[in-house]
Amino acid sequence: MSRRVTLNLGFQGHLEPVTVVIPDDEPTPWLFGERFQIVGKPTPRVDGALRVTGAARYTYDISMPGMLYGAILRSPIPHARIKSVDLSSARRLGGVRAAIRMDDTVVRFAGQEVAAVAAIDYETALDALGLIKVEYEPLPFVAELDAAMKPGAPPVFESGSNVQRPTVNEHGDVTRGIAEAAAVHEAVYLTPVQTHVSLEVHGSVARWDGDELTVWSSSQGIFTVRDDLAVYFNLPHSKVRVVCEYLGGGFGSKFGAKPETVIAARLARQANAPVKVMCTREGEHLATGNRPDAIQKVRLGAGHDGKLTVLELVQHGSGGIGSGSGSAGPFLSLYHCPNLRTEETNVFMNTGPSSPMRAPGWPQGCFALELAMDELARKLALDRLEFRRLNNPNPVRALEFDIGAELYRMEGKERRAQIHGSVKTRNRRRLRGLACARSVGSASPRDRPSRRPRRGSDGHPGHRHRHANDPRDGRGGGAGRRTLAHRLPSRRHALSIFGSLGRKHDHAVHHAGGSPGRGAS
Amino acid sequence: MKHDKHGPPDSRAISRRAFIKGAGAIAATTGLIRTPPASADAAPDAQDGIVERIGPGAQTIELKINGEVKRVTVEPRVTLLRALRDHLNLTGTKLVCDRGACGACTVHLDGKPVTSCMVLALDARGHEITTIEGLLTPDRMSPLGAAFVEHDAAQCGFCTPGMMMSMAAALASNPKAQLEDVKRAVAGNICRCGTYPHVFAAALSVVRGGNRGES
Amino acid sequence: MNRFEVLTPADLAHAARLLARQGHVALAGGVDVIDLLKLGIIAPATLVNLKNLPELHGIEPGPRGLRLGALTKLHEVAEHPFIREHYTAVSDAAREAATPQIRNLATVGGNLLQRPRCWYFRHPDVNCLKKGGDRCYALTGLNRYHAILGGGPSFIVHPSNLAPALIALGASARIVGPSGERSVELEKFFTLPSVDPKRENDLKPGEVLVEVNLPPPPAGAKSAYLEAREKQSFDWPLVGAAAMVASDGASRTVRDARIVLCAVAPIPWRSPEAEKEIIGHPLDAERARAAGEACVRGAHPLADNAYKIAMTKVLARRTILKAAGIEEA
Repeated sequence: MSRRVTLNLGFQGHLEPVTVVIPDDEPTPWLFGERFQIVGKPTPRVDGALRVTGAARYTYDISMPGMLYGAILRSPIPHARIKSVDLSSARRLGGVRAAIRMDDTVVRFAGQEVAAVAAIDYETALDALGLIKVEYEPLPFVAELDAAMKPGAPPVFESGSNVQRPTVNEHGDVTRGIAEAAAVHEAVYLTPVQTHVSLEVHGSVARWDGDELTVWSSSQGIFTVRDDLAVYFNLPHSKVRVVCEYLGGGFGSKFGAKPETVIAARLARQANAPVKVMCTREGEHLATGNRPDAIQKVRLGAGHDGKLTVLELVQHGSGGIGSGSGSAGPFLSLYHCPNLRTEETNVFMNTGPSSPMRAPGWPQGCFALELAMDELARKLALDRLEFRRLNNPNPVRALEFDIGAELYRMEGKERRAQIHGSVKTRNRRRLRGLACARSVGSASPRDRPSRRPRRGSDGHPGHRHRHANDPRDGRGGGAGRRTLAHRLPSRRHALSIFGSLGRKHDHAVHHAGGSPGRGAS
Repeated sequence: MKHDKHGPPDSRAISRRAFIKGAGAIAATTGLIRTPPASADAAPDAQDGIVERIGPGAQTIELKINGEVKRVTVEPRVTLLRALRDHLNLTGTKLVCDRGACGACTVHLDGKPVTSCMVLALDARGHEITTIEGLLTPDRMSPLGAAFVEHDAAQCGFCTPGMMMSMAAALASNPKAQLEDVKRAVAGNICRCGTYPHVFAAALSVVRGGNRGES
Repeated sequence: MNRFEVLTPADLAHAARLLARQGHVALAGGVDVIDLLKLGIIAPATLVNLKNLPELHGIEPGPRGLRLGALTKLHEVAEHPFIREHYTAVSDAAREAATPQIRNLATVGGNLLQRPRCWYFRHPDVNCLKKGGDRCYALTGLNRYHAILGGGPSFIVHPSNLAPALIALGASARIVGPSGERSVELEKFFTLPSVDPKRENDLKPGEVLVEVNLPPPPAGAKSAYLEAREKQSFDWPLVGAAAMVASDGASRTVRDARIVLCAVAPIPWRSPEAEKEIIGHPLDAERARAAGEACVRGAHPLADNAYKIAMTKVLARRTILKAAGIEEA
């Protein structure tokens, strides 16, 4: 059974009626301008009081009877063959319960995990690290992007060149675009490596119950941690349970089971006791991910009419021993240009692996493109915003430009004063910036809440749990999900926010849905 | 803490590794660390005028935390932060930089905010220690705590207890604090999510008496 | 951090005797010592706790000046009304140092005796000149925070921001050692790496810095301290400047002045050249500018720190004018 509904779709000033067919058991979609009881109104965090009072338990705060403290020995040299790792002295130290070495026989960056120990307290674990004897055979290394790009640079991997095959996107003809341009701006933009610096470092607490593994992990993606651990330990998914109640920041760096999590699980298995392994701040900077650096050669040209005739990017970046340093996103999607070419090349070097960081590639790309746009506008004697409007292909963004310009004009001063107080500038000259970016949210299908009906922890068969991988990093997911749950047809739906699907559900803290208002948790 | 890395033997001047180097057996190792280098003047305490000798092994000390005397058995090298978290399960005080640079581990010593990662636990003896748990709880919110919730001053929340400790101390000593004062109050607290404006707003709302209610 | 024991001596004489021993390190505020312990830069068998020695405590203002016990906390210095009024530069420097939390722990003595913040020195895997190695890595390495004056063979900058302010006001240090006590002008207490790259001052094994004494400021003297930082909320200074200016009220003629710079040299860097530019002249913006220029005459920037020259000129000028109470145009 279904029904036909006419909806007003679009956005402010650009609405048009569209008729759609909707199954009877689905609610009518929200309409433009519709007002709601909950949506669009401020909703307090469900866990605000817990975070503010320190009562929220983060992974770092987990402790349990018999829990051991792990510590990781990292390579001090950037490229070496490991000839031997002698754990015997470490093992003999009183209080040490487990000692392991990593599977790798070659280290490719300073900071790479070499060995690890678990002991009755953190200080003993540190002492044990000092007793591990590692024999390294140093290999040639390269740790700077321009050096790594050079022919004859020491190869990071045995398999070949550090310079990987470029990714090219192209339409039109760049040469023609240059020829047609009334003004061309050409420059090289450099951006450095940045690290995520989540306040809570990467780490996990691992516990084995027979062949079942439970891991409390400082993670944005408990399902990805579960999947990785299942593969590493050759376990069915049902035997691996991953929990993250509260997350002290991730910024993209906390997906999957990284070495420290595998180490915690290996140590726990060897010690036959729960083990907590949290990175040190230094280890965090060296080994748990970063935003790659970039060298971006940019050519931009436009006609007297202010229309772009050419947009070209030749980019090199290094994800260390990892990849994914591309930055072409903004070049490919912000402006209309008939002649466009981007070439992105990842370069290996002997530094820690990159990991996604808050819109991977975009800050680097926007930095280069938007500075270049400003420069070209200046050459053409065009207003910077006007220049962007002239090349903007998107009606929504056109509206956003209007809104932004108006807000900036009307509120700029006031808002900044409110936020920063009276900003005293010596010469009363305010510096203004302008730049364009875009943001599109997405979620992988596996990260969406499961709608499979499951038996609730209270044993009621009719309770429907929505198992959501909701990183509890405080972006308001808890309040948001509660708002969602409120819209579910039955009050007997619940949200299980914290745990990945394991066999049991009793671990999860449940937030009952259907009770709008404050402080329900 | 620089524990997870050790250099090639020739690359370090003075280091734990050099200190421990060559010690094959536990007894020899711990012995080397435990006692000062044997020399003629390593005399008994009385002649040395030593009023207290503590460590290097674990020893039970008393700490007055949140109004209660707690006994904890720790080595001298254990920081107050580690003692609170690892030994007393007071985990509201967070470990972030472990170097006194971020303020996440802020507690009050005799009412004054300090970074507990840069205080040896034994040095906290004889002082009134207040942790976030002693300042407020979800059931016993302070006006400042309620204002933090009201103004959404916590995102991931990992810096927030430290922010709260710094701000509470500042407002206690200056109930008429203005924007510049509250900024200075948390100058030693790093928030990676960027909650500062909300923290300032929360604190100023308490100063103005605009938020006295419980949340 | 290695294991260690903590000894509390009964009195100053015993403290000195203990500290004369190999492997014994003083524990006072602890901020720098705990940092060095965590890094493994030091691994002492014994810490000698100085906190219960009464001679090291207290702020005592008096007609003969001011006595600052070495264990005085930075926040006490920053908030003390007498210091604020008569030794403004010292008060400002203490207020600018570190964070509220650290100022509640860190002491005057610790601020003066802290080891350099150089990232090569603080890196446990780098055996630099200061740790007995054969070279200063800053010379050819990453040196944006290093010395532009007085460098070589080590190019650290001295991290104390209290020291320049104290020196500008003529402070001396009282030091007690195993064989008696001595008093030394603070200006002469710090030593250049050309003398010995492994240390930054003249404190000998077993010696305890007990107190800092400030004479009454010269008649008509005012002082100020300013520093520039990358991060305004809390950071070590890129450049700091302390100025004491004593001038005749109406004519503004400078009778006495001291200009001491922070974070530009391996020691707190007094600039007689800058002082000469203003002493005997009526102070105005032009004189202050000339003094700022004089500060960096003879500076030798490294690859990445030439910015410190411009910054020092400006900061010295502003500090001199601030001390003199002259509004900048």
